[in-house]
Amino acid sequence: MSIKTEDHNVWHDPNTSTVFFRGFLRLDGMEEYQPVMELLLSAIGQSPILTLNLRELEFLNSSGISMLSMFVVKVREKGSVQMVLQGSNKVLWQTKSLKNLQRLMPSLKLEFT
Amino acid sequence: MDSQPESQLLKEIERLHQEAEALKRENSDLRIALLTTAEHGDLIESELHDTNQQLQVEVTERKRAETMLQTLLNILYKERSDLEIIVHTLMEHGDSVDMQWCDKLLEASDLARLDGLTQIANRRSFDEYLDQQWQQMARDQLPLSIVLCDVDYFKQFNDTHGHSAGDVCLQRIAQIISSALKRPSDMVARYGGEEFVVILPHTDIKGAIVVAELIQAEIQQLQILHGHSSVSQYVTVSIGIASTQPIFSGSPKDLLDEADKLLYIAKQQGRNRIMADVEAIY
Repeated sequence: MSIKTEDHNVWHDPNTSTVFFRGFLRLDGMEEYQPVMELLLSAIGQSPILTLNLRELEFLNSSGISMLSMFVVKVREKGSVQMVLQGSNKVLWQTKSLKNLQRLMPSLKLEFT
Repeated sequence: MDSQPESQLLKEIERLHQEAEALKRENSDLRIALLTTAEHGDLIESELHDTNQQLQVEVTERKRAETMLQTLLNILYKERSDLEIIVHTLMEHGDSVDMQWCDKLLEASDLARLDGLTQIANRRSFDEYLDQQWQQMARDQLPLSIVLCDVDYFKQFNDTHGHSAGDVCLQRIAQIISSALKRPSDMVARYGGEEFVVILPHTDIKGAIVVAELIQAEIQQLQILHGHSSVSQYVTVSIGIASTQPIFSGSPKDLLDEADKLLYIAKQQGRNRIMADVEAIY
């Protein structure tokens, strides 16, 4: 399963239970993020462990971070999923926002390179 | 004798009889009172029991409602705390994304303005600045000078020391010219391969010659070994200076052409020298 445009690419690799994000995610509003949310929900439906690799996601707009926040809350409520967020120290927004997501779900693991 | 005790006895019997009647009545009254009290007690007890049961039900009900409210409160509290974190996340995210765009914008505008190798202004920003200063000096009726510098025998320098040494040489010359300029309105730009150009607003030919001599002296002091120059063992520059009083109907291109012509003469006359049209009229 993948969502690909000129600006961005989001795809799920079931073998590694990883959802990869790449490029510039600048969709307009929560409605446009619904397919991404569905891809993520389907990924946690398939495995109790999920990794989100955001290292090559250079930009994520406010609707995007809201969607990600809500997904983290859903994962926390589900209770049975272990989640890892992989970020890059070179991408400024990741160094700030991913730590805040961990406040929503303290068991969330962050891996920065 | 006998009748007196008999009557006394009869009286006594009568009195006892009355006493017995009174006791009977009293007994009956007490029984009634006891029964009434017992019934009353039972009634009160039964009422208390009912009230107690009702209270128990009420207490249980209230406890359940309280637990429900507490659960609801906990959910609301958790949701509020989630929302607070999300708002905070959004705010910080917005700020960092803004900052990221801003950095990109500055980087892009630097790329558009600066020469990649020497990090001084490029030809494009030189052209813009020259046009701008031409207009400004025409308005203020002040002179404008151009100093055009070309590194002597640069091709030979590159052939001898290699292109990366050539790049370093250009970087050092760019830096030294930059630091020789004292006024904020002065500007140095990379004009071509090994050519540098300086714009000196509010500066006449004499002032421009002073700046050119300073640039020449500072480059000599760098003592960059050349090896294949016929004028010096070190890297030198030839300089052409043109100066004018800009007018709105004129073009800065003429001033540049003049500087270029004088630079050419400096080269022709043996390099490592400054040529200026000292008779330039303002």
